[in-house]
Amino acid sequence: MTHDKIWEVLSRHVRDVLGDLQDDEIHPGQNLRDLGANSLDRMDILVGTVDELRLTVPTGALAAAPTLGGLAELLHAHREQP
Amino acid sequence: MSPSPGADRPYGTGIAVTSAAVLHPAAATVTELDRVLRRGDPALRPTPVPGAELVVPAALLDGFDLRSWAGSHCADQSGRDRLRRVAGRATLPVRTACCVALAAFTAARLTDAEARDTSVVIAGNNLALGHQSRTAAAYADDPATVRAGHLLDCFDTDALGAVGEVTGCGGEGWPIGGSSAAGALALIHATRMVAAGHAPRCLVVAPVNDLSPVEIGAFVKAGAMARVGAGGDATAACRPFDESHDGIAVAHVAAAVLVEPVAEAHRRGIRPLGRILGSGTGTDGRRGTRPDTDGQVRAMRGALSDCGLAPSDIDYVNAHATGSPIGDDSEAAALAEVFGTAGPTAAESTAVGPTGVEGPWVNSTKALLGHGLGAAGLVEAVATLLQLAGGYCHANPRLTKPVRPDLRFVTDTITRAPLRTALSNSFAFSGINASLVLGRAEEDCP
Repeated sequence: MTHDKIWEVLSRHVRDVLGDLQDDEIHPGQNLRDLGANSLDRMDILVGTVDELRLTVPTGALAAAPTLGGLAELLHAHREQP
Repeated sequence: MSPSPGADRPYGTGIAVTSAAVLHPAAATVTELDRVLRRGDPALRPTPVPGAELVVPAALLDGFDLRSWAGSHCADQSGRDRLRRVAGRATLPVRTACCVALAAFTAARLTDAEARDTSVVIAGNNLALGHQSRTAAAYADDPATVRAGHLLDCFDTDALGAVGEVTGCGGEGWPIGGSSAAGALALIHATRMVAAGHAPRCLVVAPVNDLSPVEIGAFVKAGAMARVGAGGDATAACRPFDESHDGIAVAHVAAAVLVEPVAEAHRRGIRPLGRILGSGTGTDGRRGTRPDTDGQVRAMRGALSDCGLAPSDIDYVNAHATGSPIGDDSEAAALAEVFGTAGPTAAESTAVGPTGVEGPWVNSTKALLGHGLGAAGLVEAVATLLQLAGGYCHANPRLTKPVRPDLRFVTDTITRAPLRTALSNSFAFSGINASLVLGRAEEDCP
C-alpha cells in the first residue's frame, strides 16, 4: 500500500465528512481542527479511512497525530506487510 | 382611549426587544420583512411533497447556502469564517439559527464581556425532522452510512451550542419546546429571566423547524394542511379566518431577538424595536391537537392583567390563525369573548372599523409568511413590533368572508392607524396557549 493510496483515501474521507473545502485546504501540514472538524468529525474521518484501508490502528495513536501528513504517516506505518 | 392601569404592574415589565433578525424565503432581514408585510402578498409557492402525489403551499429555504448568507450579511471576515467553521455542515435548523443569532447579536452591539454573561434561549423542538428522516432512510439502505457526527445533528441542543460558539454568548442555556407556541414560550421565559434578574439579557433564537415528508403527510391526513390543486394558486391556498379556510401552509422561518431592560439598550445608545409589556400562558390539561377556546381566553386575559391593561387598551391583535378551520374558529370565538362589546371599557373606545365593528384590528401573519411552527411565535412578535412602529396592520388579501362579523379583521387592504399596543397569540398542540402584550419603543405610551 503506497503513501499515495493512503493519502487519496484519507483526503477523500476528509472531503466527505467536512465538505465545502477548497482544494488548497487539504495538504500534509493541515490540522483537522483548523478545518473545522470537531471530535466526532475526526472519528468519522479516521474510522472511515481505517475501515476502507482495512488497517488495525489503535485510535489513541491516531488522536496523537495533529496534521493530515502525520496521520498519513501513522496509517502507512500500520499498513499490512506485503 | 386612555390606558387603564392594573393593580400590580401597570404597563409592563420594562423589558425591551433591542434587536431582531429574521430569515424566510421572502425576507432575509427585518427591513425586508417589513416590506413583505406592507406589500401584503402571500409568499407561498406550490411545493411537491417528495414521494407523494401531493402539492402543498409552502415557503421553504431549500438549498439555503450559509456561505452566501454570510457573504451578504456579515461585515467582518472573522465572523464569516467562524460561522462557516461552526455551522457550515450543521443541519438546516442549526445553520439558520446561527445566522439569525449572529445578525441580532451584532446589531445589539454588545462587548465580549457582555456576550459572555448573555443567556441563550432556543425556541422549538424536533427541529431537524427532515434531516432525521433522510438519515434514517440512508441507514435502512446501508447501515454503514452511520456517522458519529449524527450525535450532534440529532439533538435540538446542537443549536444552543452552535449559537453560543458563533456569538460568544455563554450565560444560561434554555432549549424551550412547545411545538407551535415555542417561539412565544421562549420569549416569555427570556422576559421573566431578565425581569427577575436571573440574566442581564437573553438572546432568543428560533431555528427553522424542518419537517419531513412524513409530518407533512400526517398534517394532510389530519385535514389540517392546505393543498394546491392542478393549476391552483399557492398564494391563495392559505386563508386564515376566511369561511373557505382549509388548512395551514408550512414555512421555513428563523428569528432571533435580544431581550434586555429598556434602560440597558438606551445606555448603549440603541433605540429598541419595541417592548414586551406582559404575557400569559397556560395549558388545557389534556392530550390532543384540538384547540380550546377557554384556554385561549385565559392566556389572553392573563397577558392583559400581567401588565395591567384592559382589552380596550389593545389596538391590534396578531392572531395565531393558521388557516386551519378548527383552530381559526376557536381563536375567533376567544377573541370575541375577550374583546367583544361586553367588555367594560369597550363603550369608551373611539376606534370603529369601516363596518362599524369596534375593538382591535385583527390579522394573521401566517397568511403571508406561512406557519413557521416553533419559530412562528418569535417571527410574529417581530412582525407585530414592526407594525406597531410603522403604524400599520398588514393586509390578509385572501380574507374576503370572515368567519365572524364581530371582529375587526384587516382584509385585502393595509390599514394605517396609530398603534400603541398589540397582543400576539401562539397556540399549540397538547393544549399550550400563550399570549404576549407588546408595545412600541416609546415609553410615553403603555
